[in-house]
Amino acid sequence: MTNRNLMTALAGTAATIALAAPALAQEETVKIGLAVPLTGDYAIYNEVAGAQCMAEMINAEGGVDGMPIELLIQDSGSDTQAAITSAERFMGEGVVSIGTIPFSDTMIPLAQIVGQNGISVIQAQSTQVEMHAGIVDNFISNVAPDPYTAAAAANHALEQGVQNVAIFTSDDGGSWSAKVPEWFAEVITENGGTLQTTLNYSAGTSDFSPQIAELRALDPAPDAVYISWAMPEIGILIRQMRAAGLDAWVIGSDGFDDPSLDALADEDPALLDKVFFGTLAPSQPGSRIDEFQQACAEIGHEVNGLFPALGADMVRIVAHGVEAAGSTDPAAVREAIRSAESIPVMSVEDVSFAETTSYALREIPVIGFENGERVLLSLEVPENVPAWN
Amino acid sequence: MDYAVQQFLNALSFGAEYALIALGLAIVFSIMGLVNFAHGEVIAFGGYSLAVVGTILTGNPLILMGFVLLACVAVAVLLEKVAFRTVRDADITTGLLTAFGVSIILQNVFLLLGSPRPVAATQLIFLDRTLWLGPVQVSSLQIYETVATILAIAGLGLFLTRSNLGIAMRAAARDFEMVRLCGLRANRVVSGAFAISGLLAGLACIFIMARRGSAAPHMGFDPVLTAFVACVVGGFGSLPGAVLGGFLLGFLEVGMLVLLPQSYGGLARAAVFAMVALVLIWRPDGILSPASEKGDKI
Repeated sequence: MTNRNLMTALAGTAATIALAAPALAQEETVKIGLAVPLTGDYAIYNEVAGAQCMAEMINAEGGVDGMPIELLIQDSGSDTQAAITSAERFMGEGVVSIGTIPFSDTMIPLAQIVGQNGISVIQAQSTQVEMHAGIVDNFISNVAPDPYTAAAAANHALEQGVQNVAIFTSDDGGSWSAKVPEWFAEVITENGGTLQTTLNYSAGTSDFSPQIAELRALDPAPDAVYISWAMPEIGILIRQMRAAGLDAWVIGSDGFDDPSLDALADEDPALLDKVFFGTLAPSQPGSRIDEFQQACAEIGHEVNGLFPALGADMVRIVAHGVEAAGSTDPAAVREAIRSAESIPVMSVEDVSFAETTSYALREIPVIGFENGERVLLSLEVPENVPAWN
Repeated sequence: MDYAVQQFLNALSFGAEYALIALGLAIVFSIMGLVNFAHGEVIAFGGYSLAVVGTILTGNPLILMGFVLLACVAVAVLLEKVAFRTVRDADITTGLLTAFGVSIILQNVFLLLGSPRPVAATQLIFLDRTLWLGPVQVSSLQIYETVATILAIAGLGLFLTRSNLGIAMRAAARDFEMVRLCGLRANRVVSGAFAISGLLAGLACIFIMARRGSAAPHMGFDPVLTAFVACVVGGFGSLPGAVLGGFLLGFLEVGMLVLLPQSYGGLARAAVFAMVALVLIWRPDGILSPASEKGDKI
């Protein structure tokens, strides 16, 4: 081949590649944006691991209507502006939905911005009631709002004979830490119980001694204390209460649903004997979440804890929306999700948004411990939920 | 009565922890003019060291406590060499930004190599046991913490007044250039300050871990912010001021939690800082601001 022929052949090949490239680039995928906290204080709440695992499982079976699911992931830290910046970038890349920091001060502004392009914010784990107050209309949460978990926990407490309760509140976690204990107390008092005292604390508390001295001064001693917060503070409270000779039930919300709480059993299983919490989905051994986590481990994904696992539900909800809508148009997908009578998900058999529009009304599990192992104590959709919306 | 005594002891214990951390900040600031916000990550490093060594090597609490102290001293000295030495002569804001940078980097190292979740390290929780002093219930940890803080302050006092390095450090706090002109090695003096700061961080880490039973990436940051306020109230650069500020904050915090009506419970922190502001209006440089701040170079 002469040099001229060689050059002609190379030019032809280059032209072919150049013409083929857009075709390859245009292969349609179902894009889901996750502007979520991979670092910082909120990192434990991100849904990435479960979403990645479920996306891989769906893609291995041929994707959604032949389109693979593509997760676009950016670390927002705990910073709302970083989440918004990532979301704006995702909008340009044609995402169907976006997940972000599960707190209303991020979700609301972000939903307002992406809503201009018809995109929905679909959260795997958000329980905050502010999101269902009608401020934004493009928000969907895979789980039930906080008052349901508070009511379910209170109902189980009443079944245990709890009458006198003390609650811990804090403004540091918004309504989740300030209002949820009050909703719990409301159900208790409406059923003849007494709210003995409300104690305050701050995020990062490493010593509850002043509050415990207050509890010890109560007469009669409280049957239960309720706190809507997370580890490690919960562990400190439990340990300090037991060390102070207080054997009241320690009751909580989904913040308790973390493997590091279970780790207290390694220290002394009895520490968890009188601990239970209302949470978002059953995650005790043998549950669907437990089986999913094991299946993920087999394909190389570590999905550790409830919040990451719920990312799988979010992916299933979006996939169902795309299938039902027959397109990846974000507004059409949202409409399809909201009109579906039943959407199969990972953590429970199915969820529906047909009646609620913005959240999945699920059965609320109350989880406790026996010999340091999680057990499902009750599973109900509470009917006596305090007024919240 | 026993309730009041109990809360008094709680305040003493809170104050002791803040004082220990504030001392670590103050000793570095007095010599370098550096507010070392990475001090909290030195504490967190101690916590992770406890988790790793306690899981892999030994569960012996005495060995583990010694190891935590060593780890904190080592990482504090290392940070001085790697990060702070190069900005020693730079503007004070450069040092401040470097400290924040080191703090953020270390937090993310803990997060990426460890986990965003707390990592269990329960080897020291045996220190927290309930004791009865007559009708008063006391946590053994509170006693250990208060006594250890008093001993640390006394030991530090002896070191600073009786040892050559200690005297050099006090002199450097007054006039670092003069100390260098006298032939003392600047690196040795500054490293010494960081080593002491690390030792105090290690001591604080032992008590924090005995209470928490777990290490987390941000476990040191909040206490250091409080300790920073303690230093400001006491008089930045003054070691007795740091101790006084720590105990004052401890008493204010517990006092607000106890005395403020629960309906205003959310204002406890705000009330503490309002009182801090009042103190600063009365003494803008802090209660025991160093003599040099008043122009006394003698």
